[in-house]
Amino acid sequence: MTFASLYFIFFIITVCTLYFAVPDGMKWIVLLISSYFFYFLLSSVWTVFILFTTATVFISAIAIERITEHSTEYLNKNKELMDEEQVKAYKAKTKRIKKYTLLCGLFANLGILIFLKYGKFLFENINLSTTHIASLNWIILPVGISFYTFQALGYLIDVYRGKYKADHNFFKFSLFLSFFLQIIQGPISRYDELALQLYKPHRFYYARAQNGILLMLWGYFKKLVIADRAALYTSMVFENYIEYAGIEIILAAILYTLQIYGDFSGGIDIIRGIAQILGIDMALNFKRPFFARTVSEFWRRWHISLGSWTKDYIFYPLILSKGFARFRKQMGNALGHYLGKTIPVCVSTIILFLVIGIWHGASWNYVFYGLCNGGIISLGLLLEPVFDKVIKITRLNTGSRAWSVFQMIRTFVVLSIVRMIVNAKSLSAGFSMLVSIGRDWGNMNALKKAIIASGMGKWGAVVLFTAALVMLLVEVLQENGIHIRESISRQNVIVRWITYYGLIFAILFFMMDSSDGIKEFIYAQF
Amino acid sequence: MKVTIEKIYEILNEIIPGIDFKIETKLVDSDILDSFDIATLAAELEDIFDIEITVNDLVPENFNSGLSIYELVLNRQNE
Repeated sequence: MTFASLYFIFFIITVCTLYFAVPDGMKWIVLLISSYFFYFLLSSVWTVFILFTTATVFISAIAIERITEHSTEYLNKNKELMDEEQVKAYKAKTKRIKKYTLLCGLFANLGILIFLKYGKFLFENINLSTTHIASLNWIILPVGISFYTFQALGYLIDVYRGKYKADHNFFKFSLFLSFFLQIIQGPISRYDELALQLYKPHRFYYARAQNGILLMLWGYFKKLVIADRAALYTSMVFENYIEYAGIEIILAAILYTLQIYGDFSGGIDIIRGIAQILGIDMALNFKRPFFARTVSEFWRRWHISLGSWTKDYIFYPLILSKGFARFRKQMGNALGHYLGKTIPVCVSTIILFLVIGIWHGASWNYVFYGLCNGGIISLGLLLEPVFDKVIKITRLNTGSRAWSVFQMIRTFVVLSIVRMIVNAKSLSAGFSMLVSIGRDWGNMNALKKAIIASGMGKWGAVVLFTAALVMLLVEVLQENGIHIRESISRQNVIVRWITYYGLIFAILFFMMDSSDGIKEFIYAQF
Repeated sequence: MKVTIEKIYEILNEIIPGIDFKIETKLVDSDILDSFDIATLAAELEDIFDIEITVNDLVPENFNSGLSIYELVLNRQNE
């Protein structure tokens, strides 16, 4: 049941109707039952894994909380009988027990994720026999495992850090992890941002529902009109790249960037729109990423919840760890102050992006994805003093519009190349595609033939180009602080209904409807 | 070393030159300080002032201005 299917629309209408019909105390139960019904439809017996994660994390969080409470109670009762050394030793012992409890919860769930998602890849790369590898063929990845595992572990770490108390209601906690809107492609939500919204009853508000539906329609437009149409051409070229010349491969790289953005952000818009109807505000996952002027800024605008999660639970803990403090001192003594403080940040950055890369999947393509992004950002950090000197000498006006546009185009080109390599059938295929661009440019006639052969045709190309322009215009307005849905809601009823019906018409008339049905969302595979 | 607001401004100027940290109050919210800058800054503050900063401290409220950074360090030194 993909988000873009009629079954899903029917499911949403049923859930929303039930949600607003039942008494307040039962609304969260409707969401819980709907979530597990949805999950079971997608994963059947593999539902056992999300149940395992829910149970282990729920128990671990309460255990950590109990250890803290017991320790505080004990110290309050006995601090007059204990000297400073004894108090220090007791606190250290409590911290150790809490840490071991946390580590048990983390390893149990990460272990499952690593085995299910990366087991076969690891076995293949350490050259085990084909019998051993074949014995893992039964492994199917449970839907959303990368998303809900990270979400669960973030919650557990936050409880350990004392950010909030553990949830003592197993069923409510189950809803937080299994909420059907986020299970397929995120966002990876934080407990303090989402849970209370899920548990709290919400009333139906017409204006809010209108806004939500408009956001959903926009998401469907991006997915069905832009992403699925671009996929016709990109899948053809990526499948048989040897048959295509430079200009055709460049178009495939650009269209793949458009495709993955339309697909992923479109899916998130659909999710957020439905959540809005229910009165729930889900985390923003995209913030006009193609306006990013650097790769570092791009990652603050693209898949924001994953970047934010890895920043809070991997990057910052690494930088603040005792090991990295020693490393910083050693680098500082050996290489001076600037490199001493920058190199540890670069090492953490590369580790961070390696995790982001392999989070996406078990292949060398994703390892490359992570290392490339981390490497580019780290190089930028290391060479910052050099860039500053060049800017000073050349008197470059870095505040000018032209410079900003140049940076945006540069970032877009660099990341499109990286994405092209990552999306290729293999790393070597990706690099071959890159080399082909330089070797044989091709011609416009061949490009036109390729567009027609892909099934998109001249008319399809015009639709795609126009739709992409519309999307760009909307994003330019948003980047300039204009809230489009709010602006539309302030217009008179005729303008509002023209907008709604215009979008519905555009989706129904221009949507891609290939013979094998609507394409699944790209990020559903993660 | 005992923290002073002038020392905080000096450290900030090293990390991001060209900003008037005496008047800026939205360093994180306006993306003047990104997460790499915050990480570098937190590590510097720990080394220079001999304090311990935890991940829970790395929130926008603590790093949005020179004054809030100074107060964070002062609180850690007084613990």
